[in-house]
Amino acid sequence: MAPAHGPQPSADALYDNAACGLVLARPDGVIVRANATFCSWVGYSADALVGRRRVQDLLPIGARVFHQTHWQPLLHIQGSVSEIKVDLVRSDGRHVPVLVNTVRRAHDGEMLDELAFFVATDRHKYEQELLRARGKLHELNAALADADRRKDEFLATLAHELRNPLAPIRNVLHLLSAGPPDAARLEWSVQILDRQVRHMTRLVDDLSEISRITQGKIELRKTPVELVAVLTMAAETARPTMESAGLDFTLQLPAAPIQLVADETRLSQILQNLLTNAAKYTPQGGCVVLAADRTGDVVTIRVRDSGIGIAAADLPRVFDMFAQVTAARAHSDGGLGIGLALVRGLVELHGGTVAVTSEGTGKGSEFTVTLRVER
Amino acid sequence: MSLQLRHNVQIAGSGPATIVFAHGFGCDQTMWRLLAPAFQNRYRTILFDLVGSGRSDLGAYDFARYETLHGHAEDVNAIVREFADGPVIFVGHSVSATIGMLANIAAPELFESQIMVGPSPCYINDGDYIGGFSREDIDGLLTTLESNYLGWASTMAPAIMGAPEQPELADELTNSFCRTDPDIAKHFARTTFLSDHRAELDQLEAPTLILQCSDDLIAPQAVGRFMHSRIPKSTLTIIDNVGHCPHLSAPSQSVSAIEAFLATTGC
Repeated sequence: MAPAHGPQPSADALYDNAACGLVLARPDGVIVRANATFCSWVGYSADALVGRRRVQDLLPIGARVFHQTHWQPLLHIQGSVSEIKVDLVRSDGRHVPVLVNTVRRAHDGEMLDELAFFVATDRHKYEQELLRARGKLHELNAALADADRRKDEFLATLAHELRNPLAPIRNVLHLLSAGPPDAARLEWSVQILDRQVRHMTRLVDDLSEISRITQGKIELRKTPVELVAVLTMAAETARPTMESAGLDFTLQLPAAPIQLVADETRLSQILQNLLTNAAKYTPQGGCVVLAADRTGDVVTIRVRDSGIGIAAADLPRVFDMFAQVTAARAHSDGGLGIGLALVRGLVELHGGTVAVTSEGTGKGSEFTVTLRVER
Repeated sequence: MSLQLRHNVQIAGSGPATIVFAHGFGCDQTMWRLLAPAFQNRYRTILFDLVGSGRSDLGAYDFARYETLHGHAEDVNAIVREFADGPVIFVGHSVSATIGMLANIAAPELFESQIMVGPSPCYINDGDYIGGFSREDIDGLLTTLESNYLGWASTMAPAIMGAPEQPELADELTNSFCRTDPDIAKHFARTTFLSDHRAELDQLEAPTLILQCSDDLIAPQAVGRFMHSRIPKSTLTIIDNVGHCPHLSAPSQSVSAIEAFLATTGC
């Protein structure tokens, strides 16, 4: 490499126009010298700084506290401190993010702080990005932990629900193994086995349905369907449950037929789930309404109940998997809490939406399904 | 983990009474390196780190326990019970002055006197009370802390340019001082700067020295006067010093003021 010859700038010129702000200050912060670069960054002349302002006077208040609690003590203890990140307040009030290195040294017997400032606007932006990303990460982690906890709870509920039918089934087996039963006993046994096996089948069906929906494995078999007839049929299926629960069940259906293209089985399943849900969470003496209407191309189906309602905080999670809310769990006689997740999955497969409103705990709820009439 | 390790308790000196030194927000027991030795020929001295600071056990930082300063005050009383001998003089800097006060109120039998260095019972202005800060100022501090600890936490490369004027400074000191977990630093900052213990001041019955700097952003003179008017047996001494750490920047004046106070308590 060729030796560097030619004109050399003076040390003073190098100092004054250095690519960083250079400041000399007394340990109490009073500025003794500042280079031109620093002066231009902060918008003060050297005269306005030297002997008139302290380094900490150029910091916003949060950074001034930091100066007292960290920066100064570090200088006292270590004699130097690096990569402090603060804002400088310019004469016009604007803030300039900077990195500061400081070293304390004796100059002719007097201790002075040598400070080097580097403008860090870009780094500041990256940092803000990073902080935002970290905040987001914390949120996601919390959400993940919450989902994990709910999954654990779900597994416990599942085990409980699957175990429940086993005791009556075992009783029947025990009885049958004692010898041939008479006709009445046999009928009783068959009824029990039938009821319990149906219950378990429903649980297992729901489970496999929900996992097929989440994996995108359900395909709709869409055909032209007349909605009012489907609603009437669903209501008739649900009526015995409503009556045995002591509920006043009413229908508000349009007189004119509504033609849709939909998967009739799935549509019935959606309605059954919503009606079962309403029956389950509405105390005896309450009422459930199934209503529908059509506005333009949009069909709206409503299931309204006067039941236990949903607290505002729980509303956003009602359709999530494993989201059976605490109040609901205490009230219901079991269930996996996946019925509404199933509803949402099936409605969305139809290109529709489902929503819930509730005035709050004890004030009933209303589930609204909207579907488009395909032409 | 033992109390000794949990708080990095360091015992030195000997004498009929014990002085316990507690560091303030931001740093650790190293803060006392220019002050504590001045007392070690006549007193037993106990230095320690608050949990979450310095070389304390960071894993022991229970965010719920340290949500208020009372958690730290309980720690102080445990340390005093375990390690002190004879009458106890508690020297607390900044937030630790408040921690010492709370410890003293909870267990007055443990303490002979309190020495508060740059104390403030409440940092935020409130009606006629001048704490020195607005709520927005404190938020600004938390932001500054966040952007600094972001870099410091991982490497804190204070690519130390050496401490040319302090060759005696041990190497191991230079990198640990002031460094801690960023979440803990933020939590402790919040706990410290949002604390308000003005109502307890008149319950502090031990003789108390309020040692203040003439120009301290964190504890303005009005705060010292307020505390002096509320703490029954208090003495207010103002040291001519800029900053919040007279034990670092004006150690001999601080020692004189403390000695003068101790002479009046006869301990």
